[in-house]
Amino acid sequence: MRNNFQIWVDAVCGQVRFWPDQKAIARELRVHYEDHVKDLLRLGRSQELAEERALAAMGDAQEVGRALDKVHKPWLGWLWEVSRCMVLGLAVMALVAAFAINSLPNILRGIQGELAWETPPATAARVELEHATLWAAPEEITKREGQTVAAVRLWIQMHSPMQTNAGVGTWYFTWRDEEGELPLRKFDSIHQAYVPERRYWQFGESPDAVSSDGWIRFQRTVELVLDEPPQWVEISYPLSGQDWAMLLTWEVTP
Amino acid sequence: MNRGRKILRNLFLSVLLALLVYALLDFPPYTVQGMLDRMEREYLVSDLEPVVVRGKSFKFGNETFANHTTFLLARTGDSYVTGVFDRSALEVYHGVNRDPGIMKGTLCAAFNGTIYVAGDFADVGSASVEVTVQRTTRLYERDSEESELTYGERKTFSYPGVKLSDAVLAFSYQEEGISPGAWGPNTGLEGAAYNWYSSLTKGEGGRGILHADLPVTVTLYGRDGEVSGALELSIDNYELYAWW
Repeated sequence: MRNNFQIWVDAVCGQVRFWPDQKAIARELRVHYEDHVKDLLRLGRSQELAEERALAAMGDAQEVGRALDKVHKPWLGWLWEVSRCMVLGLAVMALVAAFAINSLPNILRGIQGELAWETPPATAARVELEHATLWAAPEEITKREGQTVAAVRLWIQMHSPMQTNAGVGTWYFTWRDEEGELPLRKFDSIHQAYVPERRYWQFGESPDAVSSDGWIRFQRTVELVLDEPPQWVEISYPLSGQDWAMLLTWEVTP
Repeated sequence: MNRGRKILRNLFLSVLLALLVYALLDFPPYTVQGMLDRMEREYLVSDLEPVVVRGKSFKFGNETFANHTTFLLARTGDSYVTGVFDRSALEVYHGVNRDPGIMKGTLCAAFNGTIYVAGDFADVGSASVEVTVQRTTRLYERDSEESELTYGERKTFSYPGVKLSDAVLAFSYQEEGISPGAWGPNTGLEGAAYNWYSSLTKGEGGRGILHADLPVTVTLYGRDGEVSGALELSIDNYELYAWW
């Protein structure tokens, strides 16, 4: 059987439209009420009188309820609930993204790529594109298996972040030296071999020919495999329909 | 802290968490414009305009979320770029359905049973396409690390095309009544692209599918119905079957 206080609390809570708060309100009112009852008992009042007086001090249920309803506005309450769910849901999604779908290696690769960034030398050729800035600089010319290998370092700085494993279309650049275009080797999977070309370019395979991919910054070393050391190499991108070129020159030692 | 402030705090936290999730997912694009933007940045081009946008959805029995694939063929100047984006829940992968994915002048790509040829076709009234396939098997011997290549039956498939716009011709090659994934003799291009190109290892089970550039001949007809030209192109067999 409900006592008088419970009836009073129910009447108060009945005025509060934002029902998720009703339990907490009832709990708080009970604490106030019980504290008051205890105080009156300490002053020597009987249990019955203490409860009666404490309840009377709580005020008119309708009035208290209306006042509490003004504080516990439904729209504010629901917005609060939605915001809590959003934080919780996004936190779960972040954990899932980080661990369940193996994003951490991407993050690590991105951090490594960003940390590995070397500022291009001031002498590097530079092209400003809509989405990126490109630099290229000639590097060492070496001899390997009877052929000349001329290394070219490329730097790409994107203007906004992108996937670390996406790569950037430097593979489609056209390379020319004084003898003409350097054909890109193409891997023929039927014959399990690169299509034979007299000369070709490839991405660096030597240990110091590193490439690294960040979210913003990408670096590559391209090795041009040639018959003779080049004096100059021109990099352009006709496939894109864009009209730009970077000219790299090597100092010829007599 | 009152409820209003707590809401503001939670909204701020939500923004931070959303950015974290977006970064953890590797900045996935969810709209066609976002995908075009991704392609622009990957191919280092600008001002891509979509020429063909196609999509399909499918769900494997053991998966919670459906997969949504978007095929894009876009143009900048007289260069064409193609890309395929696979989305499952919030994850988006940018696949490559042909290499190179960028071509100048003309590009031939296939998606979901249709071959798309992009180029300048303002004066073209209609077109037809011929795709030639040939049974090709590469047998690899692990001990000697050598491969033997054998060729077999050759077949040419012809399909009429429709002009989707002044920049795109489309050729549907999916045949009714033929199960594209069926093993065994196939009469359809889709099945041949899958079953006729095999990579086997001697003494071992299993079969890999060889990548092969299949010759594609597009015959162009003028508005008067007369042959006005032909294009010699190629297409990777992987692009031609849609169920892998």
